[in-house]
Amino acid sequence: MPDGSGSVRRRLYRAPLLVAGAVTMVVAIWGGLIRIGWAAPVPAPAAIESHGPLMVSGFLGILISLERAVGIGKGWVYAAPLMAVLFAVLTLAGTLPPGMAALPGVFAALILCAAYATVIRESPSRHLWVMAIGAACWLAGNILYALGWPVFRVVHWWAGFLVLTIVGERLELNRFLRPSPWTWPLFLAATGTVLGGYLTGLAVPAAGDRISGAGYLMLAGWLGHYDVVRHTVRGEGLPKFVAICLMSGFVWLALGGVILLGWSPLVAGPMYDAALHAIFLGFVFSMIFGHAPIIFPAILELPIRFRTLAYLPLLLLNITLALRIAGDWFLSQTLREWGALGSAAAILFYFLVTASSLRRNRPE
Amino acid sequence: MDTIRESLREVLDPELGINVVDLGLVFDVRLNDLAVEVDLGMTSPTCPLGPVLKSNAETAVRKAMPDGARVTVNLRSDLTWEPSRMSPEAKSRLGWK
Repeated sequence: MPDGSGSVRRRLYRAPLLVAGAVTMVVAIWGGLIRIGWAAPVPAPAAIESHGPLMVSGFLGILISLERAVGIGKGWVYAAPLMAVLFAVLTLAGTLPPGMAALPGVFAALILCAAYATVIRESPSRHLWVMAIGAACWLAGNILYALGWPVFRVVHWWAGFLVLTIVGERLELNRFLRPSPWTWPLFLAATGTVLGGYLTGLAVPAAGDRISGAGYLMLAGWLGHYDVVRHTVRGEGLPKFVAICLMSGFVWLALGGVILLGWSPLVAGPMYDAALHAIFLGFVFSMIFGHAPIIFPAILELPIRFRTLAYLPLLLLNITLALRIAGDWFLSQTLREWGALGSAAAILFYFLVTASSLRRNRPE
Repeated sequence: MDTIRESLREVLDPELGINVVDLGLVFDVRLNDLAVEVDLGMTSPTCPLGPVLKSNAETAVRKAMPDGARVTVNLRSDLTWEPSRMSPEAKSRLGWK
């Protein structure tokens, strides 16, 4: 790992963004736990009412755009995670009208779209287009949110941001596998169905939810069949862990698709909670668990050694999410609350394991 | 030259667990007296792993070279990676048969 003055300087501006993302995540999860029913001190009223926006456009917006800024290596791209931090701060402060507070989220997404446009112009490829469309979904969602649309109508666009960013990365890795004439057409059909669902949902929410649900099912099937994890799961150490994380994520994406198909249109209630958390917690956080030991060292330029202890929080996340969704299904508030608390504990546990792995292996 | 390529086999892609030589990410190795220059490509310009792989490659090559050797690893975004650059071993591990 580089440890010269250059990497120390880069850490100086990357680490605060990463910390801001982590703080946003903790506050948003805290708010989510109060929202589901746990009695705890309120960090800020907005942490409860804006749990979803803070998780997606705050925490994940910071994390994903920071990752892209590091990868692209152009200074101006760092304005995207900075804007996402500002979005989180203004949302939590609650002093501005909601539409104004949401504006930095629009700018963050715009900058990320511009960053993708730059790299696509230099080296166009399918996976970059998919990720760029994901960023455009984030932009669409943030514009609708700033215009005052309710979260349950905006949330599909936010899901699109995360799902398309992730599947774009998986499409890139698919290039290491033997080409099949069906890989791209099936991928196109699945992502096209998801996007078709979002667009239809603007006018007819029930139909839109069903179509995007079918698209998620197709995407989960595509990932299960064409993703490189089918081969890397036979390895050991970190590659095996990443593969297991991702495979569990594919199952949650499929479940999210099934719920959307069966219970549309989704409005606030148990099945809304189940669908959203299958996708955002099950699919997205499984990916985060798998990629944190790869991405954090890249951002901080510090070495990391994978520890098998990381399997414990992954297991805990999967079990507690299943409990929560069972609570949604059987209308059991106790299961929902304990499931949510368990998932929060799993996330905290996981990041402590990852952070301690970084510190333990820092060069003397 | 073979020693340098062999040393680069220590540098693994963290997700695939396969080294950068077998993956075809090492595009060129040039040796001039005590100066080594390696051209490393990536599969995507948005991948944040580039600087990490570059640094790990520098460390690996430096270990294989005598003291005082100058080691430079260039991360080249202009180089186009194609699956055909992968070694038969890498392809076999990824199910090409």
